[in-house]
Amino acid sequence: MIDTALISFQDVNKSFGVVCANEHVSFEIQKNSFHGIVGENGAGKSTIMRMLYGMFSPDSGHIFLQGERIHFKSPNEAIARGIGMVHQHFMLVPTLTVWENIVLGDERSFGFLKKQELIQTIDQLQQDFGFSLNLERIVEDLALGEKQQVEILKLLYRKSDVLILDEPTALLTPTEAAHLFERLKLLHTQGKTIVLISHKLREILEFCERFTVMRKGTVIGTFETGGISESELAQTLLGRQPLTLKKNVPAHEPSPVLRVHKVSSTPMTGMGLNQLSLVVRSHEIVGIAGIEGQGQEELVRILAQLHPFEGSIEFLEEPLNTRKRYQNRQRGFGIIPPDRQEEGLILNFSAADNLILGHHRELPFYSKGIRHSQAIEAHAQHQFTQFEITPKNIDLPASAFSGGNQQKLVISRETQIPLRFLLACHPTRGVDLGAMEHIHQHLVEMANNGLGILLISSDLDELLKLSHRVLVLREGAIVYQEDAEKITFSDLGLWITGARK
Amino acid sequence: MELILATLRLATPLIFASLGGVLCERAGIATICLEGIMLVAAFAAGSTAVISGSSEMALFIGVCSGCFLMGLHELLTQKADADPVVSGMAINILALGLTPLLSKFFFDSATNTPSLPPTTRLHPVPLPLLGDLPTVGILFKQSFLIYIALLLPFVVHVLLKRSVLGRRIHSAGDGPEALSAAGVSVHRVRALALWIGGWLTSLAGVYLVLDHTGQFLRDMTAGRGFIALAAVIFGRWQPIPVFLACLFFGFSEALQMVLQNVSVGSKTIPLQWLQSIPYLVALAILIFSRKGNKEPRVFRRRPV
Amino acid sequence: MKQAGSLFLMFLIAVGTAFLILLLIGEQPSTLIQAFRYTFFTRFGLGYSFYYTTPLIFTGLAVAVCFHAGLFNIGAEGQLLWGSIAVVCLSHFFPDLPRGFALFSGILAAGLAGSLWAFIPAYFKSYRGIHEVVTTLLLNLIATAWVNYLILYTFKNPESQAAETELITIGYRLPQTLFATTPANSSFFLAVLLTVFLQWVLFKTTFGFEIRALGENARAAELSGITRSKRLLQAFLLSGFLSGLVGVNEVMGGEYKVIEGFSPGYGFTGIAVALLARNQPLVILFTSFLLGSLQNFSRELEFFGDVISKEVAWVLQALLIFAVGTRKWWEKKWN
Repeated sequence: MIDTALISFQDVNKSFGVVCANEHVSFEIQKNSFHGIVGENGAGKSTIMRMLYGMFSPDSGHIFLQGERIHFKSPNEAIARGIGMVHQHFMLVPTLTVWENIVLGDERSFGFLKKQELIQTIDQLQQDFGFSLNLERIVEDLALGEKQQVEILKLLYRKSDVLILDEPTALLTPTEAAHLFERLKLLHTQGKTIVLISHKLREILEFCERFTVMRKGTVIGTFETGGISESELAQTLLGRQPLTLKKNVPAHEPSPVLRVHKVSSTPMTGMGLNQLSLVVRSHEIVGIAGIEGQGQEELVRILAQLHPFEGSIEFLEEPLNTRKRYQNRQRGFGIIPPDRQEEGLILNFSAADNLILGHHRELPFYSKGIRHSQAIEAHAQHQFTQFEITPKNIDLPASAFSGGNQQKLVISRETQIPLRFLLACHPTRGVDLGAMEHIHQHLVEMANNGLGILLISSDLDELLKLSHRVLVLREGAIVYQEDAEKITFSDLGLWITGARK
Repeated sequence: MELILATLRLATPLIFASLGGVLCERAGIATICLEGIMLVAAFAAGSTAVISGSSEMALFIGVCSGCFLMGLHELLTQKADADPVVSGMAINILALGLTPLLSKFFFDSATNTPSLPPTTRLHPVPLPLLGDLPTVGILFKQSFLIYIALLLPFVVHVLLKRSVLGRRIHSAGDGPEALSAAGVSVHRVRALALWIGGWLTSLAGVYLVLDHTGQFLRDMTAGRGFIALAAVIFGRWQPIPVFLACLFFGFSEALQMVLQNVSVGSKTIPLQWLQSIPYLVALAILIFSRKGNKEPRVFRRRPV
Repeated sequence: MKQAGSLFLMFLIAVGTAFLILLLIGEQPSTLIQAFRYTFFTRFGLGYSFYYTTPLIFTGLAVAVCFHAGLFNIGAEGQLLWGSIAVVCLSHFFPDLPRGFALFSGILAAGLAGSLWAFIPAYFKSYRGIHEVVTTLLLNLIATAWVNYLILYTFKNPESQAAETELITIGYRLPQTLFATTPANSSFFLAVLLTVFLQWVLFKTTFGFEIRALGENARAAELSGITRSKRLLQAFLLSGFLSGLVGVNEVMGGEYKVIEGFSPGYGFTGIAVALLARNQPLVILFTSFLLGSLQNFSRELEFFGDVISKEVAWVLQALLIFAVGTRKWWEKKWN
């Protein structure tokens, strides 16, 4: 079959230090196909594609393009051969305009930019492929869906025939995702080869002709769509049956732990808050759904007491004193930040030191400002055991641990004291399915025992699975709320995009 | 009128140095070393003028040596992954040490080189017609470096906004991952920005010696490199506002000189207080400027 | 142990490079050897080495503390000037304080003066986000001008033509030490004490923990409840205090007056000291001696030879900083 295959991987291996990302990977992608690569986070899907794209080289094995052995040493070479990739985190220059971003690297001008010509070329592409962006807008002002369109236009401008998309819907709303797939289908009918990397089984089964399943760096197999159901696929991915969660209906009368009343604020990275109100009670998980940039970042910073606001916030029925952040934590206010590496951990500190952050002024760790090393070590050992964190070395810097283990460090640290309220932001982002399950179980257990959790997540499945109540955040305010059992997935999508008011 | 003239002449080295800084920092590399580069370029130009007697040679060697030093900064920060602030400071220290050392070696004096022969100094280039105007005419009879300094901000502005290289420099500072994903070597763009920036900054040093003083004096840059940096920050890394900031600093320095001859009552103002005026102005401006969000994005993680 | 080994290696390389450069420039080998012997093997030379080392311990610690917090204190030069003049000022207005009290308040005044001057960049950095590199550099230049004025006019030495202040009274002078013919003095012991103290503070106290957390990852530190502005200000003020203490070495122990331009760049060299020591206080004791004796060596060289000027020390310092600053690259090359 090598003759008809456009791209072929043969026995490709790649390791990063001790971590084996790809092991004996072999599969093919046919020309003009809509091919999916599916697997949990950490399965090695992005890695193999990045090697095709020339971002790094395999340790061993071969990659073939149209029957010819290739070894791209930089994305430039891959682009020149018609292969383009849209990454999970967009690679756009925020302060340049749309058209400047598109032509960057291939300006087709000497010295000064031939603006008129370039814009004409791009407009033609927009017509041919069904785009309608305003080329003069500054990229950082665009919505996420629009930014993704810019990325795709970039590939088309560079005349790519193979379009690789890495987790493209991770940050999109259901509506934006639908638009994306419409476009991809159009591109497919126009002769392009589409490779979709995703961990969302539903998408793979709905849009791809065939797909390759990967788990822990190896290929399980390549299947034609139609021969397998979603639950069978899930089982193949996990290697076992997924666990079931048991959410309790609150037994006693729940008491409010957090009350946010008509809070407004200036914008930060997204939109500012606009008279936002919500209540979180004990024994319940409240989920917040919404497109990125509707005020989640601001809400998190405000609740972390790091951003000024108007309005009132009450924690345990008392006004939240934003000057006593450390003390608030001691009273049971926990935060799992959205970005564990930038906000949750100090990567150069040892795991043991990270585990006392936020409680480091207390006994048994420090008293009167003096460090008690033994107590700190004992505590770390205990947490490592309880949360099954590996490798079991508390002196390793936090940077040495995998994403899932890093998240466990953060969660174990936050929940080490009895909490009354927990702000959990994207708690399972970038974490593999196994760890994700454990984290979900832990959260539900804590809620059952009395904790009030405010869950912010872009994963609608996660929100619906864990929450008792779901709130929709749009333009800085809560526009809709309902019990989780009474909402459907598509309803939620409509509320998020504003199709329903 | 004297004041305006003095302002222009004092602002010129600042303009060169700060525009050099703008280019480099826009590409994402902090340049604390403007001071050191100016000093080295000044020394090189001064010594070459004395030794060779030719102002062209002096200009050339001066600019080359400044560029060379900036190249060192580039090497250290790009290839060897050193912290730009550390590298910048080290270069300043190197300049502070190297210049008296070489001065003593060539001219037997660590404190100054011999005065430049008049032929090597830059001559005023009167502009036709404009130079003949009464009173205002003197403004148009300056050395060509000053004319260049006045036009340069606009040139740099257009370069950054409309040229291929300019946009890439912008990208290197605001989104290097995007630039590299687009297939452009970020390293090369930054190297280019640093070379051009080094070239411009050297001109500042060359001007100081060939036109302004006519002699190389030890530590003659006297903190101008840092004032230029303050101008870059105050002007938010954009050529035209930075240019205006430099004019303002030039003015304050000119004012300081005028005040040296002024008496308050029966006493003259102490020299030291006056000397500190330009620095105070720079400091005040820094403190009261709102940084806004125009800084190169790469600096968000590690500023300046 | 590995650190000590590589440090000693760097010391040797420094000395070796120094010799090489100097030979290249045409200095006689005999001069070099003579200067070297004088620096390390005579009581006079050694005394001066210690005299140069002590201020470097102070500024090195000052810079290191700030580095740990993620700050660049380049203003040590200005802070130490104020610390020095503060002692003279105190002696001028309170010449007859009892001995113990005088010594104590002299030290305190020197430190506080440094702190005060550091307060300006500290405040604007911590509470307004204005980057401290440019502010501290400008403040250095302002300090030089203003302190010079004080030296030449306000506190001018009436008995001498030189650009220096009056002498401080006996009560403020530190007791002599072994190296009686040199300006070396007992402030060295103060410096060593402070070093040990700071090593403890940085790694065994809450303050140190929070400072280091802020320096490594300010966002995570803030989210865990640490108040950034307060801690940064505190770190900076501590740093300023340490720099100011140079005045103790120079005025209370060494010359008993402030001489214009007495500092051969202690503030900047302090940066090299801290970097070489990877900001570890105990290691700073060694790197400060390294650079202090280098300073002495180049001075002797200028005295004995006729080709070199003492600025060669700067060049060597710069080279050392280059070497240490590119440490990551070296490590990659050797692996």
